[in-house]
Amino acid sequence: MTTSDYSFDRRLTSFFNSSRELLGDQFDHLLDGLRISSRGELSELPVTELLRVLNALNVTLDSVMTGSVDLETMRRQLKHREAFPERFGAKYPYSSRFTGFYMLDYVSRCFGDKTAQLLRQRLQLRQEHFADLSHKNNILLPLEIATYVHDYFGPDYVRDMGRNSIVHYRKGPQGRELAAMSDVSSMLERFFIDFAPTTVEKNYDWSLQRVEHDSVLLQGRPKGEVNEEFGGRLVRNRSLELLRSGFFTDLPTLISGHRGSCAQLKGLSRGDGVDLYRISFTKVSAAPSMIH
Amino acid sequence: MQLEPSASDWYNFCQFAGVDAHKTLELGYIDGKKKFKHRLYPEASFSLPMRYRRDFSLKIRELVCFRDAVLARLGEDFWSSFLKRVGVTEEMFFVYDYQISLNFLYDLVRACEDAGLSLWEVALEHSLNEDAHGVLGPEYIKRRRPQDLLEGLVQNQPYYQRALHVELDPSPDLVCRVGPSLLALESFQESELAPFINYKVSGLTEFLRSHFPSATMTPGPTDGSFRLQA
Repeated sequence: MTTSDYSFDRRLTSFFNSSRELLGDQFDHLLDGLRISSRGELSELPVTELLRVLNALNVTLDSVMTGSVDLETMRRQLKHREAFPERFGAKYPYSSRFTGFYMLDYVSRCFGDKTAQLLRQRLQLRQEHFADLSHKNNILLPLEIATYVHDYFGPDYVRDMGRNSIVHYRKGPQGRELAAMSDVSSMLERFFIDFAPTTVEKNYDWSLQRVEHDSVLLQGRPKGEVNEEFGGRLVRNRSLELLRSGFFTDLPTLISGHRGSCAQLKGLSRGDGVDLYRISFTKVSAAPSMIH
Repeated sequence: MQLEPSASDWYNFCQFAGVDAHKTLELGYIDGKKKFKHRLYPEASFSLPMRYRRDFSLKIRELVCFRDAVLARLGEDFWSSFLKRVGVTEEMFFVYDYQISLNFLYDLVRACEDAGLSLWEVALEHSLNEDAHGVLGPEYIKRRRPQDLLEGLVQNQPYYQRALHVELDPSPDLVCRVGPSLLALESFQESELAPFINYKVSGLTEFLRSHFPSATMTPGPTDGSFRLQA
């Protein structure tokens, strides 16, 4: 056995010991219900049986091994299925639940329902948490979904996930209003001045540095309180920058007959202190005739 | 008795391979939905004989229905002894993004012919099963129109193979054309690729028919093509 195997065994044992301590009889009832003997070390269970226990607790093997399980959320969810993880809701819930919804919808369509279900489980979320999209959460929820897709599937999919969000956004009242405008520059000004600060991107302060007939220059940085609370994680993480870059790429397409592109010129993850994007757009003539 | 790794061993392996340990166990395969890399798929470290390193034009995803067909018709012993004879490990077939030469498929088809099995036909039946497509399978079920499904299948070819060039001409009916890719022509004669082209055309049309029984498909204007009527 290598040192790391030993350490993983200890993490599993520690997780089950803590669970038993926290949940008491409830934990033993859960094992009984799964017809798993509560005697002996649970970390030594065959891995498929172990998974049944973890599924019942709405956590994953990976989240246990990385020590990211919130035991208190686990305890609350055993009593009330729909209890929302505190780390996503307690502080500065500036993000719309819709953001997480469209991201998980993308994961489901692109990688299958099972992947989306296990990603929710990894984050101790449930389908019920996305039933009412008027609810709010903090920036960690989209950050952790984007990070998962980035780490296991690659940066192109994160960017694509951002582009895909426009499909949903254009169906809403803001999307429809913006789509009715005729000039892309004006539409982007309206979006970043009137809509982004109050709905779409409340975690960041955005300012248009320059507006031209075929591009805009956009600068953003996390709001003071968001930066203070989550800044360390935001600075180290590239995935949300990629997600936004994808969203900005397709933002000009809200007005039909236009195509967009987005270049990130500065980024928090690069140590620049701000995010800086250039969104460019052009009119398109006809659709391409071949699909490869 | 079935042997299982310990959770720690499994997690340790998955960390090394860069895959989600829990999901991989639940699915039964490793599928990162990755396009072709220039050389060996780097996230897995299986050894391959030189003959199967020549073109790297197939992903394991393309071969899953062939494996399932062999297991169903000729059994596990045949499959295991074939893999042993050609020097390929069975574990490779759990990594759907892994790459291998078209030579492997042709060797398997020949071995099955020697055993009296027409593998192309039986694999076609197994390719209709969504499970044979890994994480792409559920995506196909959600397509509402035959045109959308065909577009999805064509766009996803880079997750299956790059020996063939598959394209759609959208007007006035959808015409799907399948032909050899430049990459494949570096290693194979056009005539050698004909069985795979025929298989691919049949695979696409049968998959469409199994999802949309009323879809009308007719042979296209050239060999290796078909027309999906709007």
